[in-house]
Amino acid sequence: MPLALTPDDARTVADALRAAEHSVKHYMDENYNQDQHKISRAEYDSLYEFCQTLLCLSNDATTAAVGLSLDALAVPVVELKGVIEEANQKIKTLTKISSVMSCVSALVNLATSIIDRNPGAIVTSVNKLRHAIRA
Amino acid sequence: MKFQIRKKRGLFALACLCMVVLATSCTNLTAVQEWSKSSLEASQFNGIVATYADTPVRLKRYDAMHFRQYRKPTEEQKKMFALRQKVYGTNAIERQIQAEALTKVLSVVSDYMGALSTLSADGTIVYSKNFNALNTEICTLNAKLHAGKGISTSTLGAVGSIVQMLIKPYQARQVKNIIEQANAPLQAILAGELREIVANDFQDDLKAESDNIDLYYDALLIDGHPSSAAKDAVTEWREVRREQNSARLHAVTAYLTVLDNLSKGHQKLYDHRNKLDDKSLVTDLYALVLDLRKQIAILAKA
Repeated sequence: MPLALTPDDARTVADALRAAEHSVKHYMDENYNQDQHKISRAEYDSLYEFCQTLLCLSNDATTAAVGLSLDALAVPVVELKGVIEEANQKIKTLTKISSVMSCVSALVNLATSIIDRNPGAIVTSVNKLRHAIRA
Repeated sequence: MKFQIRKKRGLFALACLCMVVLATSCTNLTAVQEWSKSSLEASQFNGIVATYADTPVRLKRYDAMHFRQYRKPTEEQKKMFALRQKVYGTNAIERQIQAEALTKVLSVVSDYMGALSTLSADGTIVYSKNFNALNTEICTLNAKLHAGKGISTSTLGAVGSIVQMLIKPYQARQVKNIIEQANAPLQAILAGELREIVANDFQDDLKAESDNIDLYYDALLIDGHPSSAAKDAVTEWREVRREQNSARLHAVTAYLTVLDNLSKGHQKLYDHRNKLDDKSLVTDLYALVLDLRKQIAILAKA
């Protein structure tokens, strides 16, 4: 049965690989530079390749860590999406209040126009009321 | 008659008392709205996700076997090189998929901040304008219906104010409910694995890239006895790459500060959910808003 790897396990591996690269690079810099060659060029090249591989695998372990973390985020993300949906419903309720008042306002306008016996105003008021009801 | 006058005065006093009680129960949500609006803006700067996804492509640049043209690579070196090319290729594909998932996670956080901002905004209930217009219209109607015997202006004003005061606390209760429900999952995201990804993985990724830059350019500088001009050019290029790396790291640090700000701010909202216009909360939220704007300025340049 394969071992269950946690995101922190993968991070520990990535850090260890980077730390190993630092040690080897330090050795390379100390023993092969412009002033002195305590190791051969061939040895330097091998160590260089080794460092490249260590950094590549460190990068790979980081990719694994992120993947495992994303798996752990799935549950709270779904939960938060539910809360957002509820918040949007509450926003709709609050904006409906202003719509109700628009209807009342339109009704008052209509009543005033009828009292004034103003046919033009009546038509305008009826349209405003229709618009308010549909909003 | 005296009884009627006393009854009217009593009712008037009761109405005034109710208005005072309701007025003091009104919650000012301005600070909540300002903070959540700034949080929405800050959380949308997710360019660091693309930086993370493109890392394997950038690293291949520093894995050229430059000395191969001078010396024949050994079998072991050839194997290692082939392994690395395969790993970079696989990682590039996997990281693109991860980037999509990460962008979705960050979008959910942004969406929540947007919903909280809208829910707590004064503009969500456009009642002030409606009420003033409504009061005027009712007054006009009154005048036409019953000259001098309609609903008094002061009563109309009181009705308008009372309804305004009823809506505001209702709005504050809805904001409180949402904050209560969202805090646990939001903290699990912001202070949990998302923070770990940004604080550890994104930062360590860029630090490893910095190591790659040093390894590659240091090897170039001692390879094949380069001329002074060649050395200068290589040194300059190394500095360019280091600066690019540093700028990316700076953006990651700024985004981490944003996540911490969002986590801290929302926790404060949760802790003060029964009094969302508490003085200390308002002071703290405005301080967080200022900090968010600083981080937005850094992220906008990145």
